[in-house]
Amino acid sequence: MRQAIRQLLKSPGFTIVSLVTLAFGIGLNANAFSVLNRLLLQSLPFRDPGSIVMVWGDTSKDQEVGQSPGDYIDERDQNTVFEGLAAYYINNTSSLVDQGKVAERATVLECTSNFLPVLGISPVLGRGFTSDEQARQEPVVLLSNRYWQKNFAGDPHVLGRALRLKGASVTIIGVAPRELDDPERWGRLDLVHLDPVEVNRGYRDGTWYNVVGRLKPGVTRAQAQAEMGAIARKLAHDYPKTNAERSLRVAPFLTDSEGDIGHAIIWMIMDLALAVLMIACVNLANLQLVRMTARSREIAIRLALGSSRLRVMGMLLSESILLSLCGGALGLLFAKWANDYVGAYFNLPVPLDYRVLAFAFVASAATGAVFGTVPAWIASRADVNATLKQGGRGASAGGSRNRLRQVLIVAQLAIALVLLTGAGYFIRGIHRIMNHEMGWDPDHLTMGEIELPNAKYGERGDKRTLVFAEKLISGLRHLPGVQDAAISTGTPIGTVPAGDPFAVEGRPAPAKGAEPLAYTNRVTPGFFATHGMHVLRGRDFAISDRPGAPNVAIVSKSLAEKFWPGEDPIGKRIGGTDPVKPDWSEVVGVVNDVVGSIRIARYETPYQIYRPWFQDTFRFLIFSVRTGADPHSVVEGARKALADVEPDIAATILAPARDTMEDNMSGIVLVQRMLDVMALLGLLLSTIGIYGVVANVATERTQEIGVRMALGAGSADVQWLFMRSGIILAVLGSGIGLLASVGLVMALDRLVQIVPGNDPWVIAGVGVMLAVIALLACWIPAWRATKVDPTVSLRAE
Amino acid sequence: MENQALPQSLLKLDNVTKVFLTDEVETHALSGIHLEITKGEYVAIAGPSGCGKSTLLSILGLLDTPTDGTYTLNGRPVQGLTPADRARIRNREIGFIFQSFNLIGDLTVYENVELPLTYRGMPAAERKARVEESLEKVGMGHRAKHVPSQLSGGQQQRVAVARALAGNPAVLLADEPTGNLDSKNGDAVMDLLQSLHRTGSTIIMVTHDARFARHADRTVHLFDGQVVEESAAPKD
Repeated sequence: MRQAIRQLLKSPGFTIVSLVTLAFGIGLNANAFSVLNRLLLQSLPFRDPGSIVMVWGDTSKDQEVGQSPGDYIDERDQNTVFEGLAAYYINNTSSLVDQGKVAERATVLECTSNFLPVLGISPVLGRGFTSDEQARQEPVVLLSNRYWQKNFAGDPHVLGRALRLKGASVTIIGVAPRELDDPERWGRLDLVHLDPVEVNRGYRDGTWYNVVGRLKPGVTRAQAQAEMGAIARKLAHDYPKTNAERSLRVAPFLTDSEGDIGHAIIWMIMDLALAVLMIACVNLANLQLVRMTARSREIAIRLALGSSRLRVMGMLLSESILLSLCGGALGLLFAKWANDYVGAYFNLPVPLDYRVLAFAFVASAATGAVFGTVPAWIASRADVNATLKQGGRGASAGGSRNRLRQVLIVAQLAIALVLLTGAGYFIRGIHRIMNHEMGWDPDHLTMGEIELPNAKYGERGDKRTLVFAEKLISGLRHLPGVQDAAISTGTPIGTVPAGDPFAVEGRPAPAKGAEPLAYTNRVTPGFFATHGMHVLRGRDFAISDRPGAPNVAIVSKSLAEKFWPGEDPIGKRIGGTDPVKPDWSEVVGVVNDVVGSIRIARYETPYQIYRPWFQDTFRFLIFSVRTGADPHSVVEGARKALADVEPDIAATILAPARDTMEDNMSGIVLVQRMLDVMALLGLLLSTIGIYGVVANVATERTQEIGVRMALGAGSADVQWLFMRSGIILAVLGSGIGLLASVGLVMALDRLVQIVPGNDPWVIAGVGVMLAVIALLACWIPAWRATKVDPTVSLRAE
Repeated sequence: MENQALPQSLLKLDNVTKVFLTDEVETHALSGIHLEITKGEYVAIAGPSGCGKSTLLSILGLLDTPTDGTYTLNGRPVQGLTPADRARIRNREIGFIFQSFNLIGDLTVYENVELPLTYRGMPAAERKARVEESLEKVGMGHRAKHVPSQLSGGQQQRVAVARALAGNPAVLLADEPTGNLDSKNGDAVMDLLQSLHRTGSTIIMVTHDARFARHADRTVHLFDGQVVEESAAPKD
């Protein structure tokens, strides 16, 4: 080991370059693994987690459908396989008011009383919910540990205190354990609220509950599945309208909340990080090969003095592994910084735990073994006699060594191109998302979402909601700098969903399942102006389009052109697909088409129908404000305008539309940034790699350069000699990389459909960029080769 | 070669000096060298190690430039030429033969001999004829497809001679051409040079072996960078 340290200190240049390469390579991998470890590999923090299962609704289209309150209650009461069966959902649109403070948006876990016992956890303060409380629909809550610490500084006297949740008073009866402070699984939870599931006992249309159960001791998942299957068949028999095509599926409790796409992306990042490590290994292997060439005489002397080849290999390998372990230690520093960055980005701690440390250690040792073995093996096979006869000049690289180096460089360039393509895909996709023509203008637009409490405003068509909306719009319109304001049920931020089937009066009804679909949005007058849309024909909605007035609608241009080609659509009627009750609405206007900020082709429909919000109010609503000034400047004013109308309500989201669009992309942006770093590292390492190889070949061939110059070779001849080999390597590497990149793009197209990054020009562009950089990396040593003094190089003979 | 009847100056050094500067120390490798060599002449440059033989040969071969003085090759001053012009003249007018042959290991015998012609931009057919002729001249035509490592030292040096001859240069510069050969192969190479000389080639050979110097028409003795003696070789 001392000898290995001495050897490394003797070559500080090699050692520093290797350490930096290793630090980046292993650090990047430790960071990617930390994310993977944090999001996918953590075990459940609950008692006997293997007994906890999910019970999903199972249809032909989706195997993980939520459950209705009625179904849940029947399953809970009829099963014999579970110790307990709990229902829950996350509500992040609730408004929470602490005494004397302004309303804030809260994330609330709504659950049945047995939720904590099913998971095997208990409150850290106070008590959990009781079944009696559930039966009586008591308004009781547990604070999340995080909320308790943040808002009450861990005060134990918080029990019994009242808060206002969704406009109603609730009492704090306990503090939830830290196991629920997991933003990945539950969101940034503020409260755990006892859900009055029994209120909706007969309701089977809406399926918003997740159902989680704890198996009785000795009961297997298969047995549970058999029994739940039987219950599902009974439900289908009893409630054919809602349950005929719905079965039940007993599945392991989710160990993470990433979903299939999240899993695939995280693994893809891990794979690409490993690709960067491979490039680093290739570079280090190349450096080692060069070093072995320089040390060939020393190695030959050792062999001549009786050292076994195995011993020589061991000596060289121990240097590589020592180097990689030191590089790994530096890499952990890099990973710590990167983890902090990712953690801050997602507000989610990404620790360097024992798993990450073990990964970094294994990765470092394996890296050292991978990049050290082949060069050490080649060096130990040296022809002792021939090497010693060449004196102290050092043997020139043998054919096998050169070929290996060239193969390594080709592989390195190919991997770098794949990484660059991945980064280019996301950059291009995000650019397209943020800049495509949407038919509405997100600039100077601020939007907020509100959930009005059912108890005070009813569900739909409640006059109180109408009064609230009129007051809110008026308050918003009076804010300084505001040009217009409106309320709607939907927003084109994100994806514009395909929507609902509709019928056109006077046209034969299409077959069931073949009806045209239109995205339907209920909007107040001024919505189009607020969103920067244009009324192309007819009129905007008017304040007179209220309950009792004739039903009216405004349609998108594509819908009008498709269903009334060459005709004036104004005065035509559209309605629902139920022939008995079509509810015809008269078309009073045509507006331009809009698309969502995020587009998924298979979900898109070109048709949109707008109806007057005042004719069909809803307690979930979105308000929007257009200002001539900075849209951030109206955020506080809008918050105050809302508080003036309803102090118990906080907007769920209240931000400029552009900011929300960017927030929606935050995960993708982070993936893009990680890929950017990987691609840049890959590019940098590959450039260093190809430069190193060509420079080394040029050094080894100095004498040959002298001979060629003596024979009349000019600068261009010498330069071409080395450029040619670089060009061959660059073309081969880029060619193989291009094929692999096409594969990656196809995979990404399937994986991240919301990112429209597939652009042949991007692949071609990064291919050309890599080739140019590779050629530049060749050109420099080739140019330096022309500066060889032939008298000096020939004198070396 | 064309006009052997009238001795004609091929190259001429006038008061050539070469000074190397290392660590602010001036080393006078050559001082006030006057040397004139006529076409068809066979000149040996002899002297002990470090006397400036190789420096002189480098200047004669346009691999190096004199610090002072003038060098005229074929009636044209060449000491102030650009590197590109020097490369062109080396390629067309000078043939090098090195002590350690300096064949390029990755190239076949044929390709090694062809190399200077390639740099000249000569058409392939003409190159082929020249290469075959040169290889036949040195008796290596049958080894055209071999690579240098498959040849003996003597054979390698014969290929190097063929490479020097292929471009039909005005002068052959041989730097210790027998230094890496056993006596039998050394004699064979010297015989080859002798026969080339007899057919009109101008040869300048650096050697420290008096036995080989005797093959030349004239021997220039160098010592400490100066010409200390010129002697005509005794004729058999």
